[in-house]
Amino acid sequence: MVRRSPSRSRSVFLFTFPLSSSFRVLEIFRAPKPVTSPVPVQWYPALSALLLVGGLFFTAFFFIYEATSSTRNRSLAKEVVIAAVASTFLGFGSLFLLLATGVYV
Amino acid sequence: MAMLSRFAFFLLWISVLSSTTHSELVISRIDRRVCRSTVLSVFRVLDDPKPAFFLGSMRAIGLSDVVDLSSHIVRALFSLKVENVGSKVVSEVLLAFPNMQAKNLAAIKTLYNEGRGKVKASSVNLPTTVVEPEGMPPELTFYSVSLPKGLEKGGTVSLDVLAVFTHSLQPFPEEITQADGQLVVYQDSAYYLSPYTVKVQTLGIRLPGGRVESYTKFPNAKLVDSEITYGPFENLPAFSYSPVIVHFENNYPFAVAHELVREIEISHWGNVQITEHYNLVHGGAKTKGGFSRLDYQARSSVRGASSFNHLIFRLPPRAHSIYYRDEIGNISTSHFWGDSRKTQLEIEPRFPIFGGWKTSFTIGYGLPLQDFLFKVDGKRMLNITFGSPMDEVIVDNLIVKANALSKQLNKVVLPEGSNGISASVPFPTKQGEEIKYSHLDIVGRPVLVLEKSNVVPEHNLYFQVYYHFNNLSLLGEPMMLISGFFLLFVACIVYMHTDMSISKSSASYLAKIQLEEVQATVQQIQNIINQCLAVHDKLDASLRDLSRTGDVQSCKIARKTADAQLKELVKELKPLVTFLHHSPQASHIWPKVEELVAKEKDMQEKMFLRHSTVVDCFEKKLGGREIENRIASQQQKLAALRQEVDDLLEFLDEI
Repeated sequence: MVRRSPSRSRSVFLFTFPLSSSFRVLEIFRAPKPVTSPVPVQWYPALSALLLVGGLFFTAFFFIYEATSSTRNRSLAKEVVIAAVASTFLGFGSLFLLLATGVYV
Repeated sequence: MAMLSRFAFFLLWISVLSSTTHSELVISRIDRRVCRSTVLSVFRVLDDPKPAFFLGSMRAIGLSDVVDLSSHIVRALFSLKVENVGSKVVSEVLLAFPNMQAKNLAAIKTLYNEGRGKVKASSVNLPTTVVEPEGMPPELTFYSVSLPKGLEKGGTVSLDVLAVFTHSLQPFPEEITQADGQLVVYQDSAYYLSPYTVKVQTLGIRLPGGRVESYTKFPNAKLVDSEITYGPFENLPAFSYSPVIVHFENNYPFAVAHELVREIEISHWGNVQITEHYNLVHGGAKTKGGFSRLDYQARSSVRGASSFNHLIFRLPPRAHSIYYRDEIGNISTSHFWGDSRKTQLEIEPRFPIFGGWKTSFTIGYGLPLQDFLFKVDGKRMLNITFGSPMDEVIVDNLIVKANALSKQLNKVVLPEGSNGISASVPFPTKQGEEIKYSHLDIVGRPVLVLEKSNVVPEHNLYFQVYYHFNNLSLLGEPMMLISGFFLLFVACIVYMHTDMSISKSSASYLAKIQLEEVQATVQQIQNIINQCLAVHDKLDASLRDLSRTGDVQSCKIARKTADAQLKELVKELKPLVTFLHHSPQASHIWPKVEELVAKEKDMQEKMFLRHSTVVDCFEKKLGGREIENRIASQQQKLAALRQEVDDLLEFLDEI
């Protein structure tokens, strides 16, 4: 029922002549457009490696800070910020790791 | 052969009926619809309709393009030419099947070729539905074909009807040994059972090509190669019936899936995961006696012709991550190859499947999202095939779980009152909804369940599932992971910040507190000293600038700022040093700290002295060599001091 090639060519139209005629624009919105992943699937392994390395770096920084600074000099805000950055990196990194290994969440 | 006697009774009944009520029935049809029909040419094929041979009596109906395979699925192709001999316009044609056949009817499809003559134009699929016309015998099930336009008086229309029957080949004998071939019985009527009179009709039965044990010779039967033809018969009254029985060998794998659960799981991260759980049985003649693996593998004559040991799946192109397993684990006997247009998977069950034997397994594969998911009018549309990708399998009960969508979906759609998840399937199915919990779910994923029984490969059509989806809900899964990691960090922070000691007044606890204070102070002192050293470096830099540019003024300004900064730092340092001096815990490091502070002070003085010397020399416009001579001794002392300070800082670091 839905063929891929016409919809593809339409999406090409969308890029080249976005507003050439209102009819065509209407047609573009009506036509079934393939839904793709927000990030190209081929990037997942590299992305996960990159983000996990970054995440582990921040984690290491966090724990070094925890271990070396004395109780009195430690600043809570700094700790929380490092933790937030590290967990964001680790979270996205592990998500892409799951996706790259085929566990599509 | 109890069936046969029932057939005979049925025939008798029909003949009685046609003599009394039935004649009225025909007339009533004339009155009401004026369709005392018909030139009806029937061509029916069991298994393979390659009917060019039979087409003599019906011009202009091209059938040669239909290709079928001999299997355990009975495909009957009727090519009808219907003529309206009444005076009123007729808009539908009735097809009749005995109930015994109708209950096995899995799919029926009527094609109407618009083109006239030899030119075959586009064929139109006509709606074919079950009807219960009044006054018709209850032993028959009627299907009504709605014609695209009314048939005028004298007009003719050509229709191709494809009917697919399952479980219609009865194994006879019902039990065979490993060495036997499988014989099956097929029953039908030589005359086309029709509510209309039939002018010319033939029946062709295409057999798979093996042994033919017996077949009904009457009326007018001919066996050529592996095709049996009956007819042509002319001018048959309505509801003519003449039972025909064919007993022949058919060793096609009778693969029947008692239950198949197909799970289609959509991930908007770029994958459509399909998991198929098969509960497969060999639906042919049951096997009796033992199974000999030696005979099966070594002696080709007793190999077990009726069994099958492999199955072929035709998967969509670009299928990836394919697996084949059962309860025990992975089954390694599978082969896989593919090109840009298709992917083929051949699997071998753990043992050859003989009649009545069962096996259950699971196959799974991933498909690229963009091939199957589309965006239409703000909605997402999944467009995927319904049936099993397996070759020639009958599925008794197919459950498709279109596991779409995300948690967001219900929330967005239900308040609007519309059913956010809707499916359009080209044939009737039982629909339901479920919730499934999978990876990183909170509220679960809505699952649309489509259930259909008696599924044949003809049902392998595309169906659509529509749903709403907000792209932001894609972030739900990473957010869960992030919050998980964050909680871990928070736990660490809390652990480091809480004081877990029970007795707050014990000597060791107090000592520990004091020690911590001392450590904090030492760290602060270190910090300040480091800052001082940075200021020293800046002064150095300003001197270098001076030697390069000769700008005395900016050098003086640099000195002033450095002076101010150092004074500030010394002020900060003072209370820390006094605290450390009075703290008993710090007694062991106090000398070092004292020395450090003293050395630093010394360094400051030397620094300023050198600075003023150099600036003086510049103001007196002395040569570079002279300046160097004057500050050489100071330079050496400074370097030595710097070394000592660095050593002390390192030492304190180690404590």
